[in-house]
Amino acid sequence: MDPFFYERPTELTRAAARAAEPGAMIYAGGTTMLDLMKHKVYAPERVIDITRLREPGLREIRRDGDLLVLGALVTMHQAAEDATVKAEAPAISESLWLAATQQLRHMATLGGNVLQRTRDPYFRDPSWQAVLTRNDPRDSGEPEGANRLGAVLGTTETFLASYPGDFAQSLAAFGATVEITGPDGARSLPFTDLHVLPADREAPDQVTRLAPGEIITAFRVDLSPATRRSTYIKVRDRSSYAFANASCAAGLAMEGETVADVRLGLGGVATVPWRATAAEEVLRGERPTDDAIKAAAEAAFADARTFHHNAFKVPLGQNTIRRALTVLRDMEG
Amino acid sequence: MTRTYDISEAATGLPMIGAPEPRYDGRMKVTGQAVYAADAPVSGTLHAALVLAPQARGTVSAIDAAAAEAVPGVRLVLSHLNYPSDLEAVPTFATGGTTQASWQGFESPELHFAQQPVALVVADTIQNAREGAKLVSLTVADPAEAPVASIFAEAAPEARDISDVIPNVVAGDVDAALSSAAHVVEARYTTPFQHHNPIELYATTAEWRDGGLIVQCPSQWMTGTRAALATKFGLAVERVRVIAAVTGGGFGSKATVMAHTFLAAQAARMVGRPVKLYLSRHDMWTAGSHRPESSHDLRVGMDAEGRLTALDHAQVQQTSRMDDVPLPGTEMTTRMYGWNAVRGTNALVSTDTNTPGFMRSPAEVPAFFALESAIDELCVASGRDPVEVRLASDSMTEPVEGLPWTSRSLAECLRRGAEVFGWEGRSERPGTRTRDGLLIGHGVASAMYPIYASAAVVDVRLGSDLSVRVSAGAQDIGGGTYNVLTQMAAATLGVPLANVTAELGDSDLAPNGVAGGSRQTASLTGAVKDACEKVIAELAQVATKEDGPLAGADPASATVADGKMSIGDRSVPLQEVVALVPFGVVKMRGSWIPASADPKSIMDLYRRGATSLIGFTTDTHARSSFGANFVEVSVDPVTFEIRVPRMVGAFAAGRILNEMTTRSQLMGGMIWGVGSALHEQTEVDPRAARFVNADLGEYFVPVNADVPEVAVEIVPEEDPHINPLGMKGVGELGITGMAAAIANAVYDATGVRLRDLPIRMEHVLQGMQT
Ligand SMILES: Cc1cc2nc3c(=O)[nH]c(=O)nc-3n(C[C@H](O)[C@H](O)[C@H](O)COP(=O)(O)OP(=O)(O)OC[C@H]3O[C@@H](n4cnc5c(N)ncnc54)[C@H](O)[C@@H]3O)c2cc1C
Repeated sequence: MDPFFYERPTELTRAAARAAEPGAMIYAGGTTMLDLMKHKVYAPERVIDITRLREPGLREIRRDGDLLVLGALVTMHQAAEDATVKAEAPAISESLWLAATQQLRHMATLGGNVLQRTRDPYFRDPSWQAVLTRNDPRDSGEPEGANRLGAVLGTTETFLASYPGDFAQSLAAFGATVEITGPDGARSLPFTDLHVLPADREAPDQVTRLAPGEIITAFRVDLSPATRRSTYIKVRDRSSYAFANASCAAGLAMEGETVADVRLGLGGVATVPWRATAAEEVLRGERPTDDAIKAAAEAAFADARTFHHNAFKVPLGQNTIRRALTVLRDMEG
Repeated sequence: MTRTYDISEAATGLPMIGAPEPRYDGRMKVTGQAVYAADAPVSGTLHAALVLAPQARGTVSAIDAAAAEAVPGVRLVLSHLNYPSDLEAVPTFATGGTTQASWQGFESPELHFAQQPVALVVADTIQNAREGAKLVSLTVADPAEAPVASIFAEAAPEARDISDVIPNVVAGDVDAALSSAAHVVEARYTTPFQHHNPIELYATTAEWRDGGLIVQCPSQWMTGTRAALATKFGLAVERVRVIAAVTGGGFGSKATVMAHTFLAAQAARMVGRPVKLYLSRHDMWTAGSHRPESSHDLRVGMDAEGRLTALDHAQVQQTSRMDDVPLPGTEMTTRMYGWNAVRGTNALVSTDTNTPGFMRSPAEVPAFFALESAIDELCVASGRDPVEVRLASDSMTEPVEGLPWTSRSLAECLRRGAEVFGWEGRSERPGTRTRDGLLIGHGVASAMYPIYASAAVVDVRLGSDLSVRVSAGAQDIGGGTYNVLTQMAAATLGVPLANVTAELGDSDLAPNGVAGGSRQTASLTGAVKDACEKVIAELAQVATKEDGPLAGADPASATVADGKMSIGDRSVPLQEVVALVPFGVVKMRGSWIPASADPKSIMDLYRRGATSLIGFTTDTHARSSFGANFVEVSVDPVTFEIRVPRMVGAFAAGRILNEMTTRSQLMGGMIWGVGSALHEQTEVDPRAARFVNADLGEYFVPVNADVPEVAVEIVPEEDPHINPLGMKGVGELGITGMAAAIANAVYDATGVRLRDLPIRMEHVLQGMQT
């Protein structure tokens, strides 16, 4: 780890100003930051620790009518356990519960969580650059290398590294909004616009649409029947402490026998947090029969591109959707 | 030479299954008080960091160390440019020596594997050393050829026959036997690269003092490490001391001496200060050995009565370009059942990856995955029950040389395991048993691990207060060696267990072989018994002297129990006898040399660290432990997640000195088997021949939630042929049958036969969808 300046501001505006300086990075729970700094993937010159910011909203989970607001410094544990979250948007709670470990969930914050980086091993060890000459950004993954965990959605011919997080899939599914404060003031952004698709990147390192110094302050989720009847299915190689090979955050609202609203976020299979809008379209207004669910699952992967070792993610991803929707369909309520 | 021992309780003073005493070092380890080799403070220590070459092949044509040398506190940048040329090459373990690989330091600028260390930076602090290491810049002249990453790569060289090293096993006419068999299965099975990853990382602290060398490093082989360092640096063995009082797991990864230990010692010699080098988790993938990739072509035959008759097993296994490491898997599979005819061959394929080595049950895990899977396939083909087929094929005679087994309780293990597991045979059609929406499958496989033995030496000291100290330059790698030594001494000397302490992990103590191959405990206990008997004989001499308390009695018939020495109907408190001994203590060295070993083997052990192995077969007997694994797997028919809700293992391994540590060893092996079958795979980049997931975040092993229920059954067994106590090893037995038992259960659950490890969801998915 390289030497760096460390600062712990107490006011948001000051933090944003400091974070806008060249070489500065924000530090929240540190569970991604420390790892990547030790691996020499990140080498910030200045580390701006935001955990001492005084603005109380940053640490709050608030319900305002049908609006749920999750502060950026709320820990994964806190949100997973929150009674309102569990009742009003169970998929959010479950996506956090099924992530990482108890220790990590107590340290990690929601703001940091959505900004975690790909687990692609070629990205996490920069010494690969000496042996693999690539034109692509470092976080692309390797089409010719080991890519079992790579993405099949949102890829390009040369970019397949998957976005690993769980929580982001429920935010994507529920059409959440990100609240941001930067050196030039506050703004908000649809959550699905936060991450930049590889094909849309203006520069190789443009991973998100956050400008220098911009700090996520909260996530806003509109509560609805579909957030209330929701679940998160995570498919992985072992029973705990593993990222998803495929996951699905799903919400379902029925009107009599037909689907009034359906929400699908997909993890482990895409380069960025992924909302499966095409699949949602297939189901909306239909009876959620096994066949309709299957058709929706297939629509979600219509544009999939597979690589050497990850072709299984298409059927696996489809089945994960099927599992999630079947669970919701067969649920009382 | 044969020998039979009286192993009865009357003769040994020990029950066949001993007390479940908790680990002697357990509390110390779980409370963080154990001082591991890397923890021991050495004053004036400098720190070292390695510079690794990312390429797998090529030659380091230039090293620019100027920037590194300019870092404050940096004292030395060691590389092939300033490495001494007169250091001795120490033979590798595979050629009868002690080292992991023939690459042993910076002797040459040639690269043999990706992430090979090419320089070592020594500085006053670890931070400065690492900063220096980062600034060393390398130029590597690319080789003409691309590296070969895997034995399965298209560019991999032809497999090389190694029958000159491991003779082919041939008995009967296997082709004829197969052609007359009622059922034959012919298939190829493969296993991947795997790495052991003990929790305690590799580390070495080296200090030169008065022309001698003191090294602290985790090791399964104190005497061998001492011998290797003595050879490397041209010192008498007495000038070298190796210390590692406790080890945080070995599993074969610390059995041999690795290059970084030589590098630290050389650096310490050059800077004239102690040097500490510890490796990262990432480095663990290339600093030591691994389980090599392997491939097994099998043809197995069964007769119309459901008896296994013929086995043709061709094993191919990865090795490095620089070393041949042959693991004799077919030696065991050809002896497993009462075959009428067998052929077992072994071959190697060299890749541009590091030299492989020993990983818990090195030869058995891959070979038995293949054999026990193929037998399951035969059972399916013939519609027979896998337990019945194994029982029908059991034989008390080893089929190749016709030797009797010293003891063999495979049948009892299969029966006991089946009973505890609730084995009801296979469901008629696979994929038909369900529970809570999950497909449920049951699988069975036999387990075996041969019995090795080497000479062992132990010192026992009895003090005036009847305190006992047992010392040996051996190691407790987690198997409970400390326990069995103390239990054994307490029983033989007739004193309470609380009186006995054990001292291990220092090469200045009595020389011993490697704590590997499940041989150490069984070998050492014989030496403890010998030493204790010598102590008793000495005390009996004193007690029966003219003026002694048992004057006139025959010292040869003295016995001790409950703190008393008795001869005939006279007895005297032991403490009174010890008080009569000059200096008030008795100290004796005991040894045990396996019956058919060369009596000179102790000398060899002392000088060269050589560990004369008595293996699997002797002139008169075949020797092995046996067991049976029963496994239940669940497979989610939608997500294809594979889990192991419960497993039962039944094992027989002769006398069990400590039931608790034995159970733990076997259980640990079974749990590891779950990882080995379903989780563990070191992936290798096909272009760079470099390990990709060298990190415990990406290299999976089971977590607690993956092993909800593990039952270990110990089947009583008496074996009078092996050693004075009738003990066999248990360290590696537990894992040997697991991979096949799981693969067989996956077949039962899904109807998909998977012949390549690890078995992952995509393989089941693909199988179920086609
Ligand atoms: C071993 C391990 C296993 C894991 N398993 C899972 C898993 O199964 N599922 C899963 O979803 N995650 C998993 N994670 C990832 C974990 O959830 C994230 O590391 C964590 O949520 C990040 O939060 P943090 O507060 O620690 O962020 P930090 O490490 O502090 O920051 C992460 C990134 O976000 C930036 N940042 C932080 N806060 C803000 C903010 N408010 N505004 C703008 N930028 C900000 C930082 O600059 C940095 O780039 C795992 C992590 C580890 C180490």
